Amino acid sequence: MTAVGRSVATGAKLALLLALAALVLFPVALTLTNAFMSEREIAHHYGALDGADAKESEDPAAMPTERVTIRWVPEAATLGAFADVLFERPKFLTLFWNSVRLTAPIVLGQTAVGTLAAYAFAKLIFPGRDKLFFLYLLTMLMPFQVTLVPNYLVAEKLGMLHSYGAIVWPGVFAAFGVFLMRQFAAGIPDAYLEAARIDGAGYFRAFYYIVLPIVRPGMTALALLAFADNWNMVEQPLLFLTEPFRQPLSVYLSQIASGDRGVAFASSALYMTPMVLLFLYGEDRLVEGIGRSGIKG
Amino acid sequence: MRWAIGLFFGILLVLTFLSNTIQSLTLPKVAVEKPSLGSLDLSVTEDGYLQPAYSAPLAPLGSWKVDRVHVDKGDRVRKGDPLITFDTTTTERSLEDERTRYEQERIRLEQSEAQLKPLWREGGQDEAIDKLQKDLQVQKLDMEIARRKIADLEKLLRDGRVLRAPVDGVVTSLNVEEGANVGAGQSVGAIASDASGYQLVISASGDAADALRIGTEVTVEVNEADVPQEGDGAKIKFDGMGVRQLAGTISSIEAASGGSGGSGGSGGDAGSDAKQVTIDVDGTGLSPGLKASVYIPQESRGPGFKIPADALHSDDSGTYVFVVTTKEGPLGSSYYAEKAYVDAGEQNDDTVVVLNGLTPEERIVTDSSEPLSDGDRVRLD
Repeated sequence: MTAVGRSVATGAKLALLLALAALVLFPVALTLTNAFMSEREIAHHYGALDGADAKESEDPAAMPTERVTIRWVPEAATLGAFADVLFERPKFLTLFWNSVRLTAPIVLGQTAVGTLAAYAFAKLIFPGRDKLFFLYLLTMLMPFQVTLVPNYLVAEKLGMLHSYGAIVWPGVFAAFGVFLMRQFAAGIPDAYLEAARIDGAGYFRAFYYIVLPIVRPGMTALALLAFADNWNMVEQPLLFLTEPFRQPLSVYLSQIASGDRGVAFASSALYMTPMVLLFLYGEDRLVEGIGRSGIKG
Repeated sequence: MRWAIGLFFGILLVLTFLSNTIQSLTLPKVAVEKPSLGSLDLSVTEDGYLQPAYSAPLAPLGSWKVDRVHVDKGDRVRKGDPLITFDTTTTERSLEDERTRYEQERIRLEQSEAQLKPLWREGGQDEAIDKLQKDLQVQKLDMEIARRKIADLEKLLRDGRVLRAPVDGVVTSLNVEEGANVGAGQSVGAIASDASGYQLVISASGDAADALRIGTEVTVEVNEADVPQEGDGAKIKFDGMGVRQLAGTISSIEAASGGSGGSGGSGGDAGSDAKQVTIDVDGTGLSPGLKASVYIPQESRGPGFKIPADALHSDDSGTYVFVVTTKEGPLGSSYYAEKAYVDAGEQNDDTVVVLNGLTPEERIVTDSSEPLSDGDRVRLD
């Protein structure tokens, strides 16, 4: 392949990737920019979604256009929608803390359980280990909808229905964490552990001093993935929590089609903020950690 | 990046802590009520004191000194009973003077007649006879005047020495005492006439007053055990009759003279169109000043939604109330106060009937922490 051919191929790849990136980033960027629009402008651009029964407004600027128009730049940027969400709707804050109260224990628990289980499944030798791991993996392969009814029945038997426990405990013991961490732990050369064993370290000492430092980037990755997964959960709260004031923010965002759109944009922007911040925070460690995951040739 | 995460969660934590405070600072708090369907109670309950329909004035016929007063205020008298005896010495003196003057005129006439007789006998001198005859006529006329004057004085003494009750009734006022000088025609008191009946005058206002009709039969309760307001203590009746129910009829409804106000304390803006309602009370043995109360049950004509009168406002376009509309959203319901123009019907002190413009499910703003305008977001109490 000539140099020209190579650069054309590179250019084509770049163009394809840029197009895909644009496709993925489009809704995020739209949400962020529209969150700074005034309620009037939002009504003007998106009023067509309300259909024929849209309320006739006396304000010509707020009259909906015939079709939804997408605008990137607000006519007059305002923080009004944010103020509305943060100051005038205490329920947003309630739901936000509900999300935190559901997600934080799952992330912490799943990381801890996953790391410990991965150590056992990857590095300890006991009868039926691989069969047990396979069984564990089966639950991960099944979609949530399949285990929905048994989950519900078990939660009822355990008296955890309508409480956060019904969501937090299955999350803590989710198979995905174990699976991911096992992949990391499996990469640790057995020689490291044997060396520790020879030096007189027990299982826990070996885990603490050898395994834990090596899988720490994996834990960060798991924590981030678990956070993203559970911060966005919708089905479990809808199923297990009946009281609206105990629902997490994600449930509210799933109902965003109705209600004030300006408020919806602003609360979506606020909703994704912790996830973006955590990712930016964990990114360096993630990349760096994977780079030196103990398997150096 | 760690500080950014901390800042984000920190801000949300502070906002959560302050959320109730911010709510109460930014949104007006309103109290709401659902209207109830029905007719408005426009009943009138008022107290008052019985007054005679007609009071006969008492006035002396002459300017005399009061010799004796026979009755007290509040006494029940029959027609012809003596009330006041006057010292009529002055009038008697002038009567004597008139009589003496009459006697003088008579003697003068006799003398003139005696002068005329010789002239007739002698004959002639027609002019002198004529003159004398005319003089005689003048003297006779003078005597006529004097005689009438005497008759008048005699009648005055006969009729006026003792002031008698002109009607059956109760002495309602008596403003002389023994030894006082009174002028002719000066009012010295009044007697409430039994025959004329008694009246109760109450004040009513607003639509309750408008609904009253002349000729309506009402029931008046008279508390006979009560101390008559203007009577003296000795008149308390201990006959155990207590409250007596009497029939009454509304006889007149007039605009109240300024400043009279309602004794019932209806107060408020209704005072401007206060009306004075007179009720004729049928009954015997009543006396002025008895405390009476009247209850006139009546309802508004058309049924409608009853709402508190405070909730009704008005502007250039008419009368309106604020109704709370709910906008359901995933972040909970938000409430907005919106103007609803209504047709207001009758009104009593605290309630008004709305004939048009409301549905039973609507929540009417009855009170708000701040003045509202159309479309304001509010907090429900």
